[in-house]
Amino acid sequence: MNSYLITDLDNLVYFSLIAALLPLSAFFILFFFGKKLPRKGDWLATLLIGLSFILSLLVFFSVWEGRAGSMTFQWIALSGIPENAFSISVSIDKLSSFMILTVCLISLLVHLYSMEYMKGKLNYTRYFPYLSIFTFAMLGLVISDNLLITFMFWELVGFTSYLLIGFWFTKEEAVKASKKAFLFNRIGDLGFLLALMIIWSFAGTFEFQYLGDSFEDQSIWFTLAGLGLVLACIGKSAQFPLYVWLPDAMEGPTPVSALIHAATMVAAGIFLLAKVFFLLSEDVLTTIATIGAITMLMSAIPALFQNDIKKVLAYSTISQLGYMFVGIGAGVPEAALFHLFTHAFFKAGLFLSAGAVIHYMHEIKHVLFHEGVYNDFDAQDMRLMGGLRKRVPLVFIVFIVCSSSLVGLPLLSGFLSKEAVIGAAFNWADSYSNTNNSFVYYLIPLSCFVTAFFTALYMIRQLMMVFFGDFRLENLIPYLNAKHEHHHQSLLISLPLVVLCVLSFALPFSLNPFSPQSSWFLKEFNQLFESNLEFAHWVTYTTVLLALAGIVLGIFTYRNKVYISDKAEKSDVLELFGHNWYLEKFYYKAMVLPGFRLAFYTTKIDYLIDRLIEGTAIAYVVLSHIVAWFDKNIIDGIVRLMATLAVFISGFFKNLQSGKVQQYFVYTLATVMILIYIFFNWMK
Amino acid sequence: MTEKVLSILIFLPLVGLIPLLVLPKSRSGIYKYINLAVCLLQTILAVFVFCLYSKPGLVTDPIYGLFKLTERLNWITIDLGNIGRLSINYFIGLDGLNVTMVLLSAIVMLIAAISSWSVEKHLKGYYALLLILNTSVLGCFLSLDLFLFFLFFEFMLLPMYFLIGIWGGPRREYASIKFFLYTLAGSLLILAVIIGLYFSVADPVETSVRLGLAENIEAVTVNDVSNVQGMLQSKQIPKRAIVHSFNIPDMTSPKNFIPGSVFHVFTKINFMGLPIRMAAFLALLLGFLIKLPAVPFHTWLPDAHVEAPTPVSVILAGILLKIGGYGLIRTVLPVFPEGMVYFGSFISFLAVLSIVYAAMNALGMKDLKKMIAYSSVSHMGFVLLGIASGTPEGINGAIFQMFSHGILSSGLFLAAGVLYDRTHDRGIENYRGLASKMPVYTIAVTILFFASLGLPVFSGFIGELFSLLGAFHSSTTNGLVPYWMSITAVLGILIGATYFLWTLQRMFFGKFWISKNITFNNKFNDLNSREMIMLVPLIIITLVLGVFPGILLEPVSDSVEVLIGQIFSSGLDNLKTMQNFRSL
Repeated sequence: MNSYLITDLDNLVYFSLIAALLPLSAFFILFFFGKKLPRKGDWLATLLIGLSFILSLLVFFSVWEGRAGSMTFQWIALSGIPENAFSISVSIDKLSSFMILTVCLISLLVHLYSMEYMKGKLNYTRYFPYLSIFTFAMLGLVISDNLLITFMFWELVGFTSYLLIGFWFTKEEAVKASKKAFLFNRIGDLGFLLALMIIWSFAGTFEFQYLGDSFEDQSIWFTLAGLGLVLACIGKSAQFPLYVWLPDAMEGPTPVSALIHAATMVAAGIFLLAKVFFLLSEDVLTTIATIGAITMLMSAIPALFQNDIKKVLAYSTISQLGYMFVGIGAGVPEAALFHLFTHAFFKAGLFLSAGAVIHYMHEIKHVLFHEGVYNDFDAQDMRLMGGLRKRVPLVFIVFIVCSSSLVGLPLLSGFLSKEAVIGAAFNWADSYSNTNNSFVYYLIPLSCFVTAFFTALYMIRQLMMVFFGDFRLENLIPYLNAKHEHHHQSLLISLPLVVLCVLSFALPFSLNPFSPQSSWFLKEFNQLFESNLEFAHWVTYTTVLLALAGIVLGIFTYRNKVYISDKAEKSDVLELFGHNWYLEKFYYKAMVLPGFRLAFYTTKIDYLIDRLIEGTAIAYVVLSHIVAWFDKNIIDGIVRLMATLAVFISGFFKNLQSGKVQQYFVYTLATVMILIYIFFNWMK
Repeated sequence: MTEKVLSILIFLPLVGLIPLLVLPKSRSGIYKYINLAVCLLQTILAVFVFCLYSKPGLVTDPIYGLFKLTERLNWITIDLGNIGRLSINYFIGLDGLNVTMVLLSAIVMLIAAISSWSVEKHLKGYYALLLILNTSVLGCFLSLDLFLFFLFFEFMLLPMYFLIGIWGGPRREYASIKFFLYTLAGSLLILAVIIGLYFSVADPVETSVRLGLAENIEAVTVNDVSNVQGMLQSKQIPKRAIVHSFNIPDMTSPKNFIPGSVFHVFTKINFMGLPIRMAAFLALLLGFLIKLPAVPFHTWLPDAHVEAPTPVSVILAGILLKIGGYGLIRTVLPVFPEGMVYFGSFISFLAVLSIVYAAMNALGMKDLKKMIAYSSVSHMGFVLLGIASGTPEGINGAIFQMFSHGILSSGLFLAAGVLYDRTHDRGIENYRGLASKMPVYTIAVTILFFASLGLPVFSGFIGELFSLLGAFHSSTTNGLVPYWMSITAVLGILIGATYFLWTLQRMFFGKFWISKNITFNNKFNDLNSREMIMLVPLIIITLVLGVFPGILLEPVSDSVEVLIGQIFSSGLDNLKTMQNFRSL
C-alpha cells in the first residue's frame, strides 16, 4: 500500500497536505484532551488553523507564480481490478489553491471570532474540535483529485455540518434542523453515488485526470452522470428544490453559519461543478442555469418577509448561490468561482456582524437577568432591534459595506463578480436564442436582473430594521432606557469583521474597480476555462440601476414601518413564504408521510409473514395431533383388535384342553365321524 | 505448530471446556475467566493466522492451489461395494473467502465473552454452550469438506437454541423455537443437496491412490489428478473403484462429477419442472438465504434478537448471519455456477428487496433492538447484492461488508444492551435527551450509527460502495443485476440515514426525559470501563478499516478472482451444455 504511482512532487503539495492535516490533529487533541487544556484548548485550534492559513498563503502565491503539483497514492490494490482504480490523489492548481486559501482564511477568522462569541457557552469543549474537523473535511474536499475521495470528504463535510448545526443539542429545533440538513444532503448524495457508479462502469477510474479521456462518446450515461453530480451540488449548495434545509440550519451557532453556510460547505457544490466542468454536457449546463435562475428568485422573495436576522441572510445566501449556478450553467465557471470568492467574504462579514448584533442582544438579556428583570425575548428577532448604529457603530459600518457589496454597488467586490455572472448569463442567452430561435433563454438573465432588484430591497429592509429608527426593545422594556451605554467590541470580534470588511471592497480584486474583466482572478481563471469574458456594458448599468431602484424603494417602504403590533402578522403571503412556497408541505405530504405509511405497511407485511409462518406451525401441530389420534385409535386400534381377537381365539382353544377324559372322548368321536363323512363323500 | 494452527483454533474452546466442567459450582466465578482466556488466545491466533495469510510466502496446497495451511486426515472410510467407497475427511484450510471470517469470529467471540460478564444465571451451562458454539463457528468457517461443514453448521443450532431459550427475555421460548425451526428447514434443504452431491462427486486424489497411481495421498501429483479426471469422464474407472467425497474444492470442478450421476451436467433428471442441478442450486441457495437472512425469510431474526441476551445477540448478528453469506460464496456459487448465471437477477431482486424493505421496516420500529435487527437485514442485503453482481468489486465488497457489518452490528447490539442493562426498557419513544446524562455513551452511539449509515472513513461505507459499484458494473457488463435494481439499491443509503438519524434525534437529543413506566434503581451512569473496553476497539476497527480497507480487501481478492473465473467459465459452459442438451 501507499506506493507512489505518479510523482510530480513539489513542496506545495506537502504544504497543502500539512495545511489540511493540522486541523485534523487539532480535532484529535481537543476531542480527547480538550477538557484538560487551559481555555479548553481553543487557542490551540486557532493557532493550528493559523498555521494552515500561512501555509495556504504560501501555496496560493506559488501557484499564482505558475507552479503546480500533484501526488497519487495507491489506496486499494485488488486483483481483477485495474491498478490505479482506487487511488488517493492530491492536486494543487489554481482552483484548489484559491479554495484552500478561502477556507483557511474564513475558518481562521471564525475561530478567532468564536473564542469570544462562544465563551462560556454550554459544551464549549466540543465546539472547537467540531470546527477543526469541519475545516479538515473541507480542505480534503478541495485538494482531492479523485472523485471517490472527493465524495468521501463531501460526505464528511455533511456529517461535520450535522454536528455543528445541531450543536445546541438540547434544543429540539436545532436537532431537527441538523437532521434535515443531513437528509436533504443525502438525497443529493444519491445522485453523487449514481454518478460514481456510472463513471466506475464506463470509465473504470475516479481520477480526474483520466476522466476526460474515458467519456469520449456523448452517451446518455454521460449526461446522467453529469445530472447525478448536479443533484449532489443542488443538495450541498442549497438549490431548488432541495434548498429548504438551509434556512433551518440557522439554528446552529452564528459563527458556524458564517463558516459553513456562507463561505465553505455551500460553496463546495459550486467548486465541484467547476472541477467537473469538462464532464458536463450542454443539456446538463442548461439544467444548471435553469435551476440557478429559479432558485435565486424563489429565495430572494422570501428574504423580504423574514423577521429573523439570520434567516434573511440564509435566503440571501441561497439566492447568491443561484447566481453561481447560473454562472456555471452559462459556461463561464470563472465568473461563478469569482462570485463564490467575493461572496465568501462579504457574506461571512454579514453573518459575523449579525452575530455581533445577536451577541449584543444577548448581553442585554444577561444584564436584565442580573437586574432581576427576566424577559425571554428572541435575540434574533429584527422587530425588536432598531437604531443599533449608535450602539454598535463598528458592526454598522461593516454591515453597510458588506451589504452594499452583496447588493452589487460599484467599488465593492460583489459588483465585479455579479456583473461577470449576469454578463455571462446574457451572452449565453444571446447565443442560445440566436441558434434556437427562441426567446425563452432570456428568462435566465431576466431573473438575474429581478433578483438584483430584490436583493437591494431585502438588504435595505434588514439595514433599516436593525440599525435605523428607534431601538424597539427599549420601547417594550422601559427599564433599558436608563442603561444607555456604548458597547465595546472585543478585539476578537472586531478584527475578523474589519478583515472581512476590507475584503468586501473591489480593490483587492481588481485595480480598476469598475471593470470585472480587469480583475486578476478572472484573468487567471480564464486561462483555465477559456470562456468569453466580453460583457455588454448596458448589462452593468441596468443591474446597478435596478439595485439603486431597490434601495430607494426600500428606504421609502421601510422608513416608518411599525413592526410590533398586538395583531400577529398573518396573511397568505407570509404563509406562502413561511413554508418556502409550500415546498416544505409538499415534502411532508409527498415524501415524509408516504415514507412513514410505507414503513407502517412493511411492518404489517412482516406481521403477516410471521402469522403465516405461525399458521404453518400450528397446522403442523394440528396435523401431528391428527396423526397421533390416528396412530392411537386406528393403527393402535387395529393392533389392539388383533390382540383382543388373539385373546378371544386363544381362550376358545384353551378351553379345549380341559384335562377331562370324557370330553376328549367326545371330541375324538366327533372328529372320527367327520373324517368318515368326508372320506365317504370323497369316495363318491 | 504453524501447520496445525487451524485445528488449534477450532478445538481450543473444547480444551477450555474441560476445566470448566471439572470445576465445582462454588468456583463459578472462574468460568468467565476461562472463556475469556480461550477467546483471547483465539483472537491472538486468528490475528497471527491473518497476518501469516496476508503476507506472501505461505505455501499453498500442492493440489488445491489456492488453499493454505490445509490439514487433511481420513476420518470415515466405508467400502460400499458397487456404489464405490465413502470417504469423509477432516479437511480444513484457509483461503481468501474464509480468512477474514475467522478473524471476525474470533474478535466477536472475544467481545461477547466480555459482554457475558453481566450474565448471572446457570453460569456453567452458559459458558459451556458458548465454548461449544465457538468451536462450531470456527469449524464451519474452516471446513473444506462439505460433510464436516454441515456437521459444524448444524451443531451451531444446539447452543444457540439453548442460549436464547434459557438466558433470553420474556418470549424466549417462542423466539428460540422459531429460530430453530427456520434454520432447521434451511438445513434440510442443504442436507438433501449434500447427499446428492456425495453420489455425484468423485475425489480424484483418493481415487488415484485406490487405482494405484500413487502410494498415498501425499504422493499424488497434479498430473495424477488430471489423469484420473480424464479417466472418470471417459468412464474408464470401474464404479467400485471410485472414491466418493464431500470435498468442496473437488465439487467446484465439473470434471470431478461422475458421468451418469444425479448432478452431472448431462443429467436428464428434472425436479418440479426444473433441471435437477437448478433445483439443487435453489435449494442450497434458500438454505443459506434463511441464515443470511434475506427478505422474505427473515422474520426469525428480529424475534431472536429481541429475546436473546446481549452477548448472544452480538454473536448472532456478528457471526451467525455471516455463515449465510459465507455459505453462498463457499458452496453455492462455485458448485452450481450456472444457477448463479441463470438466476442472477432473481438473487439480486431479493437483495434489493432486503435492502429497501428491511430499511423501511427499521423506520417503523419502536423497539431499539428490533430497529437494529432490521438494519442488519438491510445491510446484509448489500452482501447479497455484491455476491449477485458477480463482479470482482461486488464480491470483494460483499466479503468486506460481512466483516464490517459483523463489527458494527456487534457494536450496535452492545450499545442497545448498555441501555437495557440500566433500565430494562428498549422503547425508542421512552427516552429523550440521553446525551445530557450519558455523553460518552451518546458519542459511541453516534459514531456507530453514522458508521452504519455508510459515512466515509468508516468501514460500512466501503462495503456498501463496493457492492453498489459492483451491482452497476454488473448491469453494464454481465447483466446479472438489472439497471433498475442497482439504482433502487442506492435508496437503501437514504432510508438508512433516515432511521438512524431519527432514532438519534428522538432518543439522545433534546431535553432529558424518560417515560414514567421506566423504573431504574440507580442513576443513568455513563459507560463503565468494561463497556468501554468492548465498544472502543470495535470503533477503532471500523475506523481503521474505513481508512485502510486494503488491509482486508487485498488478501481476499485473489480467491475472489478465482471464484469469479469459476462462475463465468464453468457456469456459462454448464449452462450452454444444459441448454443444448435439453433446450432449457
